[in-house]
Amino acid sequence: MPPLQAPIHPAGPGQVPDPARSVSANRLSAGECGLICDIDGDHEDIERLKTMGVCLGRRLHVIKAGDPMIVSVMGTRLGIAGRLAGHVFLRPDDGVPCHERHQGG
Amino acid sequence: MSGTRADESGRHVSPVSLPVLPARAAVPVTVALAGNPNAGKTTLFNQLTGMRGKTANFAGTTTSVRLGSFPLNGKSIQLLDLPGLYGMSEHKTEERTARDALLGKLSGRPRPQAAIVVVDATNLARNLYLAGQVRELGVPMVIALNMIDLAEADGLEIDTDSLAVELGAPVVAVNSRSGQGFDLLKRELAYVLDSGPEAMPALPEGIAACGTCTTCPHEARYDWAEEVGARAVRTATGARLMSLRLTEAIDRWLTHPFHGVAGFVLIMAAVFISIFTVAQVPMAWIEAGFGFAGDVFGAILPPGDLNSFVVNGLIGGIGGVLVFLPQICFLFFLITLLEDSGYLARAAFVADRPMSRVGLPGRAFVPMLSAHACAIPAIMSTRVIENWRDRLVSILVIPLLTCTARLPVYVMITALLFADRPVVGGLVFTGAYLLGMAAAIGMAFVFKSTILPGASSPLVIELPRYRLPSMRNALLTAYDRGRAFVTRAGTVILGISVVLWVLATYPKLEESAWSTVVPAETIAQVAGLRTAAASVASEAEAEALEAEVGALLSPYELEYSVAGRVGKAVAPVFSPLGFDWKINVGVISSFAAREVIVATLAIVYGIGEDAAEDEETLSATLAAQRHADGSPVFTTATAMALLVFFVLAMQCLPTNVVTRRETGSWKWPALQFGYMTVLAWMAAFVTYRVVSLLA
Ligand SMILES: Nc1nc2c(ncn2[C@@H]2O[C@H](COP(=O)(O)OP(=O)(O)O)[C@@H](O)[C@H]2O)c(=O)[nH]1
Ligand SMILES: [Mg+2]
Repeated sequence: MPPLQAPIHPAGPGQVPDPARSVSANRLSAGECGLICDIDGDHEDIERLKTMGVCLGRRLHVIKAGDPMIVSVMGTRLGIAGRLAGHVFLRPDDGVPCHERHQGG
Repeated sequence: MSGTRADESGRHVSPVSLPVLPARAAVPVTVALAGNPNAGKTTLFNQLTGMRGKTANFAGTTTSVRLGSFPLNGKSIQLLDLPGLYGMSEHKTEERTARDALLGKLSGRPRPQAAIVVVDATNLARNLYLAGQVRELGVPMVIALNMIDLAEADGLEIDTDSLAVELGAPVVAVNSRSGQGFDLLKRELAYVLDSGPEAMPALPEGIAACGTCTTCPHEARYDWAEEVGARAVRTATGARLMSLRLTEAIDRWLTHPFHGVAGFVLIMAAVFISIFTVAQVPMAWIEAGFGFAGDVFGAILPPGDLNSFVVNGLIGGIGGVLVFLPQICFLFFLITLLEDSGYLARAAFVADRPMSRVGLPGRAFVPMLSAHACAIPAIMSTRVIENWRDRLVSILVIPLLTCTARLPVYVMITALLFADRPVVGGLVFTGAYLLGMAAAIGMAFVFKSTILPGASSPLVIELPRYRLPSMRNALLTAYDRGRAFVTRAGTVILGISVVLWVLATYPKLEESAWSTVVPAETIAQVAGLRTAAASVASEAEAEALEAEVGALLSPYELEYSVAGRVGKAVAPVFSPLGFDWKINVGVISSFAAREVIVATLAIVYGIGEDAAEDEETLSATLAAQRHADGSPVFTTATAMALLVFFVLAMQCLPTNVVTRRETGSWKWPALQFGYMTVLAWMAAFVTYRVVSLLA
């Protein structure tokens, strides 16, 4: 298994994120949120992240920024290392502000 | 709350009257328990089975399960508590094992006839992801909608009827702490077991669609789970936010880069200190109890081999195991309280960054803290570390940390060298602790950059909501761990101490062989005592004299035994460290448990075992020892080398045996033993040289 590397973006087939609009999760600050539009890499640790709900189409809400950071996905709070969060890309979820969407965990 | 079942057509029917299970008595019925971590599986397991659970490994794997049984309609049902799962991913060993267990693909375990899927009602969407996957496997199942009390307090209203239809399986709301809903849960389970897989409703379309989606199966499943969850739950506004706000407020402190670390240090220090203060009380009782038992049997049994075997081999051996029990139980009691409260996940979160510097994950911290009580339960508790390489490195370095069994050795040596300088003694004592920690960290780094390369796997951890921990769970876990220690380690320790007793007793030193080891003056002394014994009037006096003879001869008996001969044979190996053959015998005897060296040195140096408990006599005797040329045996250099050797050496075969169990191969305990012995020898050699130069 190759070690995790700094994510190179935009990635692979499927939905190519708009580089101007997508941002990796470790760049957000507390209170910000977005829809997960891309997760690059197929490392086993990325797979672990996916089974815990950090997966395409889910809404991710940053509770605490930093490394490691705390996010909320599907009503669960997860602690995630910064080097993993760098592989998760979000796009703004237009319309509804974060705090109204946030369901907590 | 009512239990609801969906029949084939998707209609809901209320639970029917109890069906009578057909008498298939010969085949034991197995029911598996699956669920996300923290969904309350263990609590539900304990509620169903009472105290009858026991931990076991799946044959051929290192994944542990809990086994228990409970009666259902007059039959005994085997309950299998699988490890906590988030999904059925092929990538994680535990999840693959759990999947195989559910499908009956694991050797030695029958396919379970049904599964109970434990779902956290306060976090429905996330938990339905797994429930949907288990449903896809086609195992007949009942959903236990757990923590219903918390969901209600949060103002959540869950429509179990619609859930049952969407999942194609009965759903029962339960509270595993109080047992609410369990009657219904059992009835539903009985019904599902009775009607078998043929009677299961067809796989609901929503779930079936997830399985066939090829692009991102996670995505499809999560979409499904989120939709189903949203449809089934009605939230009363306001209420839910309360308990969440509390968690967020606590987390602002406990995960903070500064306060969080301070809190972490405080909590861990409190755990650490209390296992040494609180647990010390029952430990002293156990020691006193076994000491008393030894005295009683020593007095009742006629002097001779049987007496020595019972007192030293058996009672000493059992006492040596049980004395650690209070500490282990208390440690796990505290850790379970922390785990149940939700703090342990935060501890791993806070410890992750500093630990990752040496290549270990934050989850390795608590096992390493536990290792300061005893390496055996610490190694068993490395199961929380998900990544195999990370776990292996932790297992390899854990025995370097100072366990309780080393303390008597530290006490002996500091008393010997620094009896009149308590401050220096204290510093050396602390230094020994720090040396163990530094060596563990250093070796973890070495392993991570050589044979087990790679950074620690990056942190992904669920931070569950803070909850009031359950005493009952904590007590049950403490009991469970204590029992696992006694059965796994205890038998090994007892076995080894019996073997060592044999080695230290045979061959017997017959009178004809005295001339080989006993000096002439001692022989003369013995002869004098014997003549005196023959002439005294009372039997008691004669016995006292005979005991004196025994005490005079016992060092030579040990010298003549296999242990003594081995001690002499290995002298070339240890003489560079300044050890004489008597110290070697002590080192060899400490393989069952390190603290045994204290008693052994007391015997080889001829002051009798009882004197070992009296620090002053022992250190005075040790200090008075002279080599043949008249130079002292226990110079500062030798004693310091012995201390360093004991800090670092793998003087504990039971730990090796547990490493074998946990890693499934003899390769790793062999490596553990080998590297620690080499490290200990080299460090002791350097210490001996350096201190000799300075002194
Ligand atoms: N209030 C409440 N707490 C529960 C219930 N079931 C479990 N818990 C608590 O939830 C926490 C996690 O439970 P545990 O059984 O260890 O979860 P596991 O990881 O699935 O084995 C513990 O603190 C339990 O006491 C329940 O029905 N109601
Ligand atoms: Mg559990």
